[in-house]
Amino acid sequence: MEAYLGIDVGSVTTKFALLNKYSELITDLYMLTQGKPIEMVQQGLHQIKQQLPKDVDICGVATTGSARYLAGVIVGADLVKNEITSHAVATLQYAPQAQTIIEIGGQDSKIIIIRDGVVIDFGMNTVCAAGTGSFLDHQALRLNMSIEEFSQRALTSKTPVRIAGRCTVFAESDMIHKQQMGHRTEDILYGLCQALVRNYLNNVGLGKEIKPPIVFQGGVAFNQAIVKALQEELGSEIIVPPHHEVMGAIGTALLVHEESLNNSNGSKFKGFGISEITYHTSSFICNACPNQCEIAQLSIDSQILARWGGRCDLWERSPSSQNKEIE
Amino acid sequence: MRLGLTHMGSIDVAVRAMARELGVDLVIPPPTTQRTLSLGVKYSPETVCLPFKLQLGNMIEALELGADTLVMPGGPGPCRFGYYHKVHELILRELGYKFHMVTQDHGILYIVKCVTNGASTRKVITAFRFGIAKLNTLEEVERMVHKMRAVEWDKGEATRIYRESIKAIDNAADYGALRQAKQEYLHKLMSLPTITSPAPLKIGVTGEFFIVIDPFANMDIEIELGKLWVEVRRPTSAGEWVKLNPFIHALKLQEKDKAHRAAMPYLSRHVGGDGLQSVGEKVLHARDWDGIVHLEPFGCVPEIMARNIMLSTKEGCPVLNIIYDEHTGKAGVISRLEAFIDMLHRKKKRQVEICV
Repeated sequence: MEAYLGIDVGSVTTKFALLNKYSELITDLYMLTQGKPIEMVQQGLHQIKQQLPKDVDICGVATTGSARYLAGVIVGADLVKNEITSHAVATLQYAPQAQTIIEIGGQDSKIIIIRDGVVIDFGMNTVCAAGTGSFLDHQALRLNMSIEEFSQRALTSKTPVRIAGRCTVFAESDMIHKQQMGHRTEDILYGLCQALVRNYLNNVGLGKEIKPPIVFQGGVAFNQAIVKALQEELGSEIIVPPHHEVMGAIGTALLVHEESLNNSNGSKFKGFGISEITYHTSSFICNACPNQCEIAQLSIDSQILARWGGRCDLWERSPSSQNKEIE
Repeated sequence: MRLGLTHMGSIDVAVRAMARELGVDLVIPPPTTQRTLSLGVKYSPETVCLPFKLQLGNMIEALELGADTLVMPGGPGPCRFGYYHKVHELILRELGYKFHMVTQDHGILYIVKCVTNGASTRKVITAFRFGIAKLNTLEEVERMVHKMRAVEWDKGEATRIYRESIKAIDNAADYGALRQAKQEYLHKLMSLPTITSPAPLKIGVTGEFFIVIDPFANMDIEIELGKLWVEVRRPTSAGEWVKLNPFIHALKLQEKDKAHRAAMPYLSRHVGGDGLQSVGEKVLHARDWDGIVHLEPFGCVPEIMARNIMLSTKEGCPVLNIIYDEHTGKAGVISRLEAFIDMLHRKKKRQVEICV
């Protein structure tokens, strides 16, 4: 059986999706990155292998997410694609009529505007992570509850309080103030959800024409309270697709499938065996010119697999043939 | 007098040529690096913009090398930049540096007299002409580099030749050598093996002047766009800035004037910095560019205004806005560029399909 693997290594979570040639999901995986992208990719591959039906032939592998290049080198990706394209492609598979995609992840939030099945505009959060999952995570931690509990309690709110959502610091002092005033926890929680939605629409959604059908995905879409707050704010139904948390991974898998149709060279996938290999990462300052670039390198034993981070391509061109000693 | 310079793109090439002609002792700080940025950030007010911080870092590095005179254009007009020289001077004095700061407050004639070592007017004009000739040559090679990066077979070759050409142009001692360097490098660039697939996308780069010009500040955005098979169009150039300077104000500047006129329906006056020009360039080039990458330093008021006006002009052209600050994480910038270019490619492909 032909299968296509998509891997999405994000700032907070790592996602895997395995599709068959009819673009149906065979298996998926959602795990926390915990700041260890390489180990998580290896662990994920190990787990996928165990869930794998027999006679599966991996015909293409693609990576996306903020660690897509690193992950791509490790697994031997046939395609490395940015998150926007990946998400849009996956969403159109499940909701071909979609005109707006709202995606809120750990540190990124995006809006993608689609007309007639083509992305015509997108936006991403700029210099601040206030409208993202990390913001909610942080506040849940402050209130000493899990993010799952957060969502359940927030939904029971009847009279949400108004909380400043511009910035985590303001939100926090506002929250403390409201707690000291004696407001109920669930009202504060739902107030936070509304603040996040307001922040999102005022920043990422600024100047964008948000038309239904609206699809909401990313890790934060697990949070029913946010879905409700979005629905109230936009006055329109919000679709949360199945597998919304692995959409990026599904999207790249679809893209590599599409690509493999034009390319008969076979996959560069290095096999599931790579979950056993020990990778080393290290970095050094290049002294070849006054720029002092921080070069990161990935190696197995003493063999260098890849280097990146320089302003020129001195180290990236042929990593294996060059030694650090050139300095 | 030992004259300290601040960096901005390859402007040092022109300044070096002028200094050589005039016999001025020039102190060129090392190229802008992480250290420059760290120094600038450490001693700058936190909310000031990235160009201020980088220039302060350059000044410190020049003073460390023994410069005793700094020149900072300014005066009323552009934006906060108008009084940057005062703040720079205060900070550097507090740090204990001893130097002479020459600013526009002293009058243009005084600046010229100061930086030209008291040379005769005739000598000054000759030196300036040669410096500007170097800038023009650099720009010409650069335009070719923009074209070739988009289609070269071996990614990175054009950039490598470009770096060589900067050195050669810098070394050229007279007009003859300059012409020869230009021909040699243009020829080298044009004979690079290319890929002849569909015509590359044309992307305009606009926004705040310093960020647009300086590759350290904008994280080599032109090289990154080249890697994505994009031909960069950049109306702003370092040479234009010199020509715009009060010294040579008499020269008519077509491109900038045109952009200002084009912006009129949406913005009828200067808003400081390059805000008016950013809006104008969008209106002007909406047809011949496939998209625009708009660059601004964090907190730049003129570009904040321009950015929001650019969102809603009648002349439609997709705009990607990138905000720069002292962070060096390039991944976010690259993700956005990739997504933007991908979007434009897919849109174009769809249009072609519909036409067929």
